[in-house]
Amino acid sequence: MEEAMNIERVLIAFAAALSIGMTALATAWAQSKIGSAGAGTLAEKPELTATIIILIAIPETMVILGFVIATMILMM
Amino acid sequence: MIVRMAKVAVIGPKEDMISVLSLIRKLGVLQIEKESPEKIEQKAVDSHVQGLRLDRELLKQSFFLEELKEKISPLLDLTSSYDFRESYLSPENILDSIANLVEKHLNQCREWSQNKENIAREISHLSRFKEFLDCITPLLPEEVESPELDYIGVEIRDISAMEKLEHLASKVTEGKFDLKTAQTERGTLVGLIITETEFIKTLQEGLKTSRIQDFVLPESLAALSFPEKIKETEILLKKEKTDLEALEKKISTFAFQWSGIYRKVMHWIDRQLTLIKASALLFETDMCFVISGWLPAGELETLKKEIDDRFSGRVVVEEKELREEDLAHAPVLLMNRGYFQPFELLARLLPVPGYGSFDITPFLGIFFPIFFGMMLGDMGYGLILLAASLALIKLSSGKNLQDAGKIFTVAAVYTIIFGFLYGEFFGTIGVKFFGLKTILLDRHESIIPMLYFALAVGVVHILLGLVLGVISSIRQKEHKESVFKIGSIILVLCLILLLITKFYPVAAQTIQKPLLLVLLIALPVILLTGGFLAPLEVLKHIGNIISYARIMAIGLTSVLLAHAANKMAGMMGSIWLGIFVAILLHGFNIILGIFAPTIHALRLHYVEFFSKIMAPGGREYKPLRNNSEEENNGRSYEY
Repeated sequence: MEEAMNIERVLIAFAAALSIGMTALATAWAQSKIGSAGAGTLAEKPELTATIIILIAIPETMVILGFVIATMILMM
Repeated sequence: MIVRMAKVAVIGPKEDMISVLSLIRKLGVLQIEKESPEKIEQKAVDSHVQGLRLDRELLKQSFFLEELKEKISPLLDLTSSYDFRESYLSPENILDSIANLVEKHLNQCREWSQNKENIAREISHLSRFKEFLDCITPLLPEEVESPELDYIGVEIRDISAMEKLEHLASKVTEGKFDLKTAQTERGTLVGLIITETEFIKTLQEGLKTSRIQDFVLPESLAALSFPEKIKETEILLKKEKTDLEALEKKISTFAFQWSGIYRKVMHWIDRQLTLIKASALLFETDMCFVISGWLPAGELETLKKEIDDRFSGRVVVEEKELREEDLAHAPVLLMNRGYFQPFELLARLLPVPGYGSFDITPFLGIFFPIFFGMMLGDMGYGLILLAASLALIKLSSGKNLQDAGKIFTVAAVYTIIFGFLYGEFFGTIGVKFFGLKTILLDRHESIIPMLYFALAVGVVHILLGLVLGVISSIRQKEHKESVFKIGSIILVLCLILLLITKFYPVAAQTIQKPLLLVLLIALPVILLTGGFLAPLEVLKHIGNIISYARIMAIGLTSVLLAHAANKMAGMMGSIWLGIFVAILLHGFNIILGIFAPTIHALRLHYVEFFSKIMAPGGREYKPLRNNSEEENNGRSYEY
């Protein structure tokens, strides 16, 4: 019984870790692409700084939602 | 607020055209438009209207000014780093004299610049050589001055260059060489190869091929002994420095006398060329010119009065009737006062909205600080941010920084308010030491309720956006679009209410069936008005609402970091170390806490909210005006 509960806890933790880990990886990959393109753009058009910062922030939705799901899993 | 624009035509005799353009530029309110002649009404003008062709005189003047500008510009570049005297001469009166002198002055400045470069290069070379001599001379054997021996000085950059040099010297001189090395004050390594005179030329060629830099000896020093070389190098250096000083003084005197005059003339030329270019947007008849353009409606009377006063009725300003098709071309000027004015800094990051659309600035002014406060939500952090913002307003001089300071001041106030509601003061310190109580939600414990709260905020914000979108469509008389948007609102509301009924089974029994009925009616309506992809649009709205979960997520991050900072400070053992760690970690949390809520609050507006209300594609209002603020007399628009 105790062993089953421990396995359950491990799986819950693993699910939460997977939720935030995968989304964080996806966000990092997206932001790396946007960041490098943005750096090239800013070299020619420095006035687009604010726009580029906003564009880099957009993929953060993925990791935020992953964090929310992870929190909900841990709260179960 | 989007300022109401008026469309005008300015008509007058051709001989007054440049004067009128000059006055329009001075007032800085009229954006000149190139419209097709068919759109221009021809009440008091001759019947034949066409695009203005510059007459020969004007063209000649244009070419002359362009040519003069091309000569003055490099001259100003060459003297840009020197002080100059402000000129009070009138450019129009001295233009011919300047045109005659500029070529001579430009050639003179170029010669001086070239001489300066040559002297600087010589000084650099002599300095390196002196440095080399100072290092090497103490190490020299007595026989170095023997006629059978000669030497080469080299700069050795690294160990591999040293090995290369020794190998090369050994090969060329058959081992008959001596290498002395020393380190200069700058830390670089220099060497002296002493060998028989017959090997010198071959060795020099070898050094060139191996890319090892040797010191080229000035010819005047070749016959001298080493101590004499040092003395002579010092004398040469002193002479070059004196020459350089004399040259700098000459250039400085010239720049002080003439730079101010040339700058003033250049500025005048730019203004004249702007007028001539602006005249390309005009129309003409046989006797008159016609300027068609837009200006803020509040400035119309001022323009009429100024033109009447100056031209005594010869030039007429007429307001044109605004037709529906004109609205798509009207330039957009955003004007917000008081509390909302600083938020134009954030609104400017987006494309200009359409003329008939909404100005997004007031919505940013209302909701951005609230979302910021919800996310950061800590009284301690809010107080620090408030102090920093007030300091920024007080100490900064630029308008953008001042506006940023004002925006963050408001955001700080909301941060303090929400910090009070959450019961947070540097995390849990408020609760532990000051008896602070949680009024709204404990973000650390009530994670799911906080999530519901964030989503509820999202529902309200998105529905507001959709309602404003309906108003915008009705204004622009897009009835099908407005019906589609109303249908979307109903669908979104029904879906949310159906979701809520999952938690309230009693209510579910009552309202589920009517909600499903409304859904069944609304769905075909949006399919008819929005097309087959319309349901995807509704799903997109649901996705936008879920995006507001970031308010909970970022807030929770901030809380947990504050909590971790307090815990780590408590674990230090020493009170001073604990305070230091707490300051460090809370400081890091504040910086993160300012950056992340700003970006995400803006993102919620730009992506989720404004996509519902804003019709982009507006044209920015760019009136013909002088570039410098002084000439504009610091003008601001007052209505």
